[in-house]
Amino acid sequence: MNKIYEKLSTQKHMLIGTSLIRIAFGLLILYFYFIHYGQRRFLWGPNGMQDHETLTKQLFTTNNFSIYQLNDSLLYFEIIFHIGVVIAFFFTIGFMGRLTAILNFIFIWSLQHANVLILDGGDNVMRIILFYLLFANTTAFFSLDGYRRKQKVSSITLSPSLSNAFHNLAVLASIIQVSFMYLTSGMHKIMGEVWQNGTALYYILQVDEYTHPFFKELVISSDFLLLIGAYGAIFAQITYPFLLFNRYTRYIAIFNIIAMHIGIAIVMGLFTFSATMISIQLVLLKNEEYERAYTAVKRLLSKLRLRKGKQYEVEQIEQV
Amino acid sequence: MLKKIIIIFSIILFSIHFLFTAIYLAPFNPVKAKFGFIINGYMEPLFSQNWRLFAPNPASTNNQFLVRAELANGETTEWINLTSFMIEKNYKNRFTPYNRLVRIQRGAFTALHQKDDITMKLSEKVEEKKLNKEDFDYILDNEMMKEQREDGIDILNRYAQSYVSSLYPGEDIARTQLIVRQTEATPYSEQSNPTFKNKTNIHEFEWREFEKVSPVF
Repeated sequence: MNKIYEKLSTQKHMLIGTSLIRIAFGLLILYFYFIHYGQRRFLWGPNGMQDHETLTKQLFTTNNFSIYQLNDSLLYFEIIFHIGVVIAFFFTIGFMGRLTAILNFIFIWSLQHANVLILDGGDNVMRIILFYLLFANTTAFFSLDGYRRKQKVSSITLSPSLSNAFHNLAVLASIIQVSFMYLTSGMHKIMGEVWQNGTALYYILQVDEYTHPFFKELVISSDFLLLIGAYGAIFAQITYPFLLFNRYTRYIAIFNIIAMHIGIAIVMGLFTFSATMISIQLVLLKNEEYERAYTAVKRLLSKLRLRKGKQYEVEQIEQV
Repeated sequence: MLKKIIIIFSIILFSIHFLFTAIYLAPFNPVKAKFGFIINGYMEPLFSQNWRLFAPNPASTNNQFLVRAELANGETTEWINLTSFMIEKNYKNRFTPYNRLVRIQRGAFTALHQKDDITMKLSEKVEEKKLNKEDFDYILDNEMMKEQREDGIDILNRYAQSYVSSLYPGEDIARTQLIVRQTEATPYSEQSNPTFKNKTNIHEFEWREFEKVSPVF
């Protein structure tokens, strides 16, 4: 117990990861707001797909709440929607960290529940992780707050050991959440007949909304690809939580999942879902790993530049 | 000392939270049957989640939504396909609103028949005639489900009417009717059989008075 206590409270882990996931989620949220900007009144407005009264009643019976339900005027809707966009922008750039994070969560929660039919699993898990991350520090890196903090010493309100523990538990919660997600998703696949016999993709790819004519032809034409797709997805999902336990197998878990989601994005066209799931992997890497990767990339780039430079010199000499 | 207590308390809460999450996410089982209402009460709505993505049985039918309108002058339009053009647009470019818009129809239609774990088990048993339908009607056919169904039909009609009014901007539309044509997938074993006919199923909705809904396009 003491060891766990120490580990939780002495320092904040994964600070780069939590900052990166903030930016990735922020950009995805902004994309969501803007790609549907033209249909906003139809999708979430008071006289749109669902009329205001029905929505309010539904939210009430499910003990739910959305700020969009508070007033049925179009003006109110427009104001809330646009405030939501501004908050999402502040969230992305890391301005006024915790306060913005809380507001952003409330606005995203409200938007999602003003129309659940347009959502997918990615929005669902993002909403839950956004909640967990309210307890974490997501503005330590690449943020306006971080930049301002450098300018002047900021006042710390919460005792560091408490804030460290909350931060670390929030990160852990996000990781457990996504592990549970893959584990249940994999388990339910194993329970399905077409997943067992490896023809699941054959059936899914016949559904027009989840396919693309080119990739459908390609995948369905090969029994081998169908098998790799179905069994590969199950394998990647079921093994994910267990591979995370070890320092090195962790990379395999991340690799598997990213490969699976790239496939889902390209073949099935569920790219925002995939982007969300891949973004979550950002929180799995430690600061040292990011730093190592960064220096490795930098070294590689400078090597390339050096070689190019040398080549240039040689060419110059040859020309002379 | 106080800090330590708060942290240890948080760890305990944390563990209970994920214990509940695990039970909530598990397939239907005895613990869920007994304590489901407590677990759901805790998890929903804040931590609501569902990860049966395309499992255990993935969607495999194609739904085409067709709508026709009766204009004020008594004329009835042709059937207008709401689904195909969106799917085409989504094939051409994944980075458009259609990428998500195309999924709404299926979602709303599926929601008409959606049930939770316990209700689903019950209705299976009733269908197998192992249980008496009248005894469980209060769960299987109650007000809340009827309302949910009506809301779903409402959404589909508003969706259709919003589209129809954008197709006939100057016209005075009196009412519209929606049908859903479901085409079942070709079974794997029949894929090279050229004479195979896919099963289709037509779901007809009632005519609905026209309402002015915010335009989708």
